[in-house]
Amino acid sequence: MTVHSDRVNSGVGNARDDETLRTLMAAYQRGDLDAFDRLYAALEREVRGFLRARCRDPQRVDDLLQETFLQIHRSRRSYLPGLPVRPWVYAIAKRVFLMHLRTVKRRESRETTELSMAQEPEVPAASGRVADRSTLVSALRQVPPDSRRAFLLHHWQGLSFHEIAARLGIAPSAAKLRSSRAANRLRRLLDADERDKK
Amino acid sequence: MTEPDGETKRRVREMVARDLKPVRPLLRPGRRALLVAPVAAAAVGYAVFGYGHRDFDRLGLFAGWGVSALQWIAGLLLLGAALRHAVPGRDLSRRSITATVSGAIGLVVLVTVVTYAIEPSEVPPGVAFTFWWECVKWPMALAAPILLVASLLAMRALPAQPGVVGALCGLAAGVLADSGWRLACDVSAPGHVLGAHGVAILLLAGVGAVVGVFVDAVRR
Repeated sequence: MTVHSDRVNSGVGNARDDETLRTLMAAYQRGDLDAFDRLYAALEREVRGFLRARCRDPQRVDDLLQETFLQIHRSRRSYLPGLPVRPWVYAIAKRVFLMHLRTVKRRESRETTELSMAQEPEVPAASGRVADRSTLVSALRQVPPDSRRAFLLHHWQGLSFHEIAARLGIAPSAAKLRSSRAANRLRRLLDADERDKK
Repeated sequence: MTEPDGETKRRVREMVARDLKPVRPLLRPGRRALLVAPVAAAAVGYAVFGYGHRDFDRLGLFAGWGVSALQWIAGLLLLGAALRHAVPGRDLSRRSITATVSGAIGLVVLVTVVTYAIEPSEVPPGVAFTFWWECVKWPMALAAPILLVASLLAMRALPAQPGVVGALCGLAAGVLADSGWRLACDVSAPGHVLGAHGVAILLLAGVGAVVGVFVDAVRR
């Protein structure tokens, strides 16, 4: 089989695949749950790949995948019958991702503001080396948002890992891991800063 | 740490199964734009017959009703483009949006020039501001119901750029309302038409963008 005929066959395959998706989408709009299952099975992998290419945290990818399919469900009437299904699905996945980005940025800026507005705790003279506030805020900004959130909830607000897990919708072990990663990253950043000053 | 395979699917399926019911797909953008046509026609009708109209004998049939009909159709086409841009996966390219907006503005300028060439009339002395305010206020009031219906139709489709879609709806509502208002306003001087009618159209685009973002935020 030549490369050309491979391409042609693959094109035919895609067209057939798209035809199947259109049929499934029409059945889903008529209220067929089985059609939804088949759509999910057909699209889950590629939508996950699409999200994974934009977001490194696997836990977050699961959340975004769930939100994408729920958004697909909520706006299923906006799919226009007869048109290709994939561009519609990807546009929704992209929108879900952009909304997520916006939320993360808003949360980040709120946490940073809260941290810089908070009263500075009194530190005993013998407590050794303490980073100043601006250094700490600047270092915290460099910690990935998910880890920073778990770290602040634990060390700043004093929540247990079970409480953090419940609040963020993740496993307690994941909360602990994120907080610990943030602490390690902070330590490295502050050490580097200390060395620079010397 | 990822979830076990199928966990996300199970949760999504549960939620979908809970409220799965048949839905009627949205109409095509062109057909949805036609749903706005009666409101737009009523706005034009009110401007001409409710508010009062200029001297049609001097303007002539083509430069009066003919040009307004063309502008009205262009407004509906613009609305169709806005409604298309609202549908996920059917969004227009940046170039197409620029061309559409430029076309709409160019059309208003062309209509202004043609009207002035056929029947030149200036703003009477001493009432420039009164005329200006009247010609900003009325097109905006006439366009308000068009913009409302258009925005609701557009936002049902989950637009990726609600602000852009809203601005296009506002622009379309402005062009549609102005197609009637140009028959009600006695002045055809380009300074007045572009400075008042044109400003009203641009303001409507801005209001549309704000409405789009607001409706989208409430909907979410």
